Amino acid sequence: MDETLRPQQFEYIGTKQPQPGESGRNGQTLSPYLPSPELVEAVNLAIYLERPLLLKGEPGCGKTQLASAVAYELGLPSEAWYVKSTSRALDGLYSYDAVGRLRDAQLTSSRHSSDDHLQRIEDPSTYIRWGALGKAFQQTQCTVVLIDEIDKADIDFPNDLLLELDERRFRVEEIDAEIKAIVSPIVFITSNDEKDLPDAFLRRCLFHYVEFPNSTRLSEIIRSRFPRASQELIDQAISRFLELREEMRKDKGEAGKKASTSELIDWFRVLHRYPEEEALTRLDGKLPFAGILLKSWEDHIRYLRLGKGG
Amino acid sequence: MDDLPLLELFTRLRESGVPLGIKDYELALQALQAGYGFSAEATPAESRAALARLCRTLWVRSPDEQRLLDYHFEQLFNREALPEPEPKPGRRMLWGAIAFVGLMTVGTGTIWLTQHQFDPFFRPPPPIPSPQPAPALNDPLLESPTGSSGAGSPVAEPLPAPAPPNPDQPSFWPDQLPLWVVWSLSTVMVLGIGGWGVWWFVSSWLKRRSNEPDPSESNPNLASELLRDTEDEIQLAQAVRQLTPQEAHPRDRFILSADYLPVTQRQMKQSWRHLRRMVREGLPTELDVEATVRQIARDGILLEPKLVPPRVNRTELVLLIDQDGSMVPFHALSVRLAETAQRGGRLGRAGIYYFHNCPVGYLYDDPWHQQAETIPAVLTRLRRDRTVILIFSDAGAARGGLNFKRVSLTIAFLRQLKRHVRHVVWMNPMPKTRWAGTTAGEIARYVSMFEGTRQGLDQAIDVLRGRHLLTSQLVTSLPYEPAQPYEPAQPYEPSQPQGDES
Repeated sequence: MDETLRPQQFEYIGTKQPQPGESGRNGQTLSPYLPSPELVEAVNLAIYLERPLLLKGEPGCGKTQLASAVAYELGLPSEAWYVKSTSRALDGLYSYDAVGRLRDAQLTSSRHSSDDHLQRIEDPSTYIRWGALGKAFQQTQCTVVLIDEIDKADIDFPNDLLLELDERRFRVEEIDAEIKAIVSPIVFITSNDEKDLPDAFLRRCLFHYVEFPNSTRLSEIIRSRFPRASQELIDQAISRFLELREEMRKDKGEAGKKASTSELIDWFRVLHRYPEEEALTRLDGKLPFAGILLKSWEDHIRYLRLGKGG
Repeated sequence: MDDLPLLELFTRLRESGVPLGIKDYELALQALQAGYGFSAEATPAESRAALARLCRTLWVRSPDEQRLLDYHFEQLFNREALPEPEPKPGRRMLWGAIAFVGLMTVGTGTIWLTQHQFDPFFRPPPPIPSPQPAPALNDPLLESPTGSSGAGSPVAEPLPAPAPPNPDQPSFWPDQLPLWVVWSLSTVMVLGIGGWGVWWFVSSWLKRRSNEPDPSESNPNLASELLRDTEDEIQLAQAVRQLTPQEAHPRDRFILSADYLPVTQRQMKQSWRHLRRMVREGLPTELDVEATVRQIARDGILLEPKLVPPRVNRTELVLLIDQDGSMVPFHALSVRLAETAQRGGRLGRAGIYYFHNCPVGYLYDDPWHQQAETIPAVLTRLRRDRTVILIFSDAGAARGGLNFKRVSLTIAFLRQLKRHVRHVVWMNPMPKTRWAGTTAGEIARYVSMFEGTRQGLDQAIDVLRGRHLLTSQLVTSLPYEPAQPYEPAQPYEPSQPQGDES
């Protein structure tokens, strides 16, 4: 492992939070992110050891958000690669527009084009579109790369990324060139655990299981997102939410779908729109805005009745 | 840093089947040198937790492995940490000594009291007041209590005095003691020492018990769940070790381990990976460069690019699992097989069905034989060109014996099955040597049957891919349709598998 690859060491602390309404480099709106101390340590370890950090955890516990939070705090550019079921490993590095080149060649041969068109065709590298990793490798600045939901792709997909993640280089066959990372990027990989990842791939990653936050952290998260909400409303909403979650956990076990942090935030956003008095009375009765928290008909039937009054 | 049993932890994890390499160990050292995993001003407990976190981040990639690590970490590091609460053993010794001295006092007190109380009884015989022979005679007797006590008891002191001033003293000479007093004395001593020993043992046991819950409380579900995992891998090693000599004398020995696990979960996953048949199917979306170039060469101009459908895996696996009865010892294996196949993403739209001994009439959706479906209903759902079937059953080899009815029923089912799917393969958890002469041996003539080992699984998967055809299958007189090892010609022009990457 080249020690020279990264001139400066970054350290993530997890305290620098964006102001409400602030948007990131790529134009997306940023929201505060409160990582647990363990997560912060894992991130720093991944940065130091230059290994990708694999994040697993319940859906909606903030795995994807971490990358932009780290990029924001460290002031680094970020690239995201949202994996789909049809994604191939090559997509994250580059894709080659062969059809475009063919079309250009045809146009030239039929003399419908200008000189700079001709030049364009002469240079095959103009038809390369870089993917997230491909871009990050060529940046002179350290980049935060997010590979989101890697388990959605084919099971061989992660294995095709081994060399790229391990040695941070890849070949572009079309132009017969090798791209080597100038500065090794900070890579975050998230997985929803739908498929097992191959061992060879896992071996190259650091792993962190993002735990569901406890009630104090939940209340901090809500407060950071809704600074104007009253403490009473926050406490009430969280206790109601945790009650529901505990009930779900009892029924479905650890593996079942439970209401998540992101759903809590959405739910609270709706509650917060109402005057405080009304929101509190609503919280006391039947579970308000249940559609945000309960995602199946069985859940509706079972948990809607769960009120403070029974 | 060197005194940390990190290497031991690393080795244990590796032995438990966590895929770790030397690089991982180096990473841990590197991180430790950089100051991760411990801090100077932290308490021992805190730095232990920090070290555990470091190991967790570096060496663990799933919640299961995390439990494994926590378990071994707890074992290694808490054992290290045990001597730390030093006062406990010291206090225990003190209490022991106090109790011992107390018992001694009580013992000697009893002797003394006995002496006093029963004086009248002793008075009649004392007319023989010869003190001279007494010390010589009683030395051995006296030694027994003092020798065991090791400490000078108050009784021992007056003994050597030849002329005791106390009038009661002469009556204390043991030669005046009747045998029953000596016996009762020694009984008291033995009971005292024994009682102290028992008390010491019980108290130390209680202490150990009260100490133990601490680690387990921190991870309440650790023990049970972890045991399953560790047992899996550790018992595998045991099972294999036990089985190796067994092959020499197959009938002499029983399988001793609780679980028979000749294939680990990891090996199963690796094997399932090979079960794939990439077929170009669906909407044409990928550019076929070669075909396009050829087209251009033919037409002289690009009219339209040639597209081909993307390659997708078109294998749908159905597991048929024999449940209960003679298969009970292999349930762990079948559960693992089903789990890995499911999570490996190989089952496609098909699934897992259960039966007992031999599928007759119905297949069950659940291992408890609750949800039944008729066999034809299941079979019509399968797609003939995609589905492959793996049957997991001992076929009567576990109990032995030849049951012709079962053979014919099974063969009838297999014939029915083969009309609806591409390939059928049978995995038998019993070693091959046990099939001969049993129902399994007969069934093995009609279907490719393999042992439940790694090689067996790999061979079975080869058959499912159409790579491997047993000659016995071709030779049998069954109206067996000619096998189709490979997919029939595709509707598009075949191209190089790698050439169309871009």
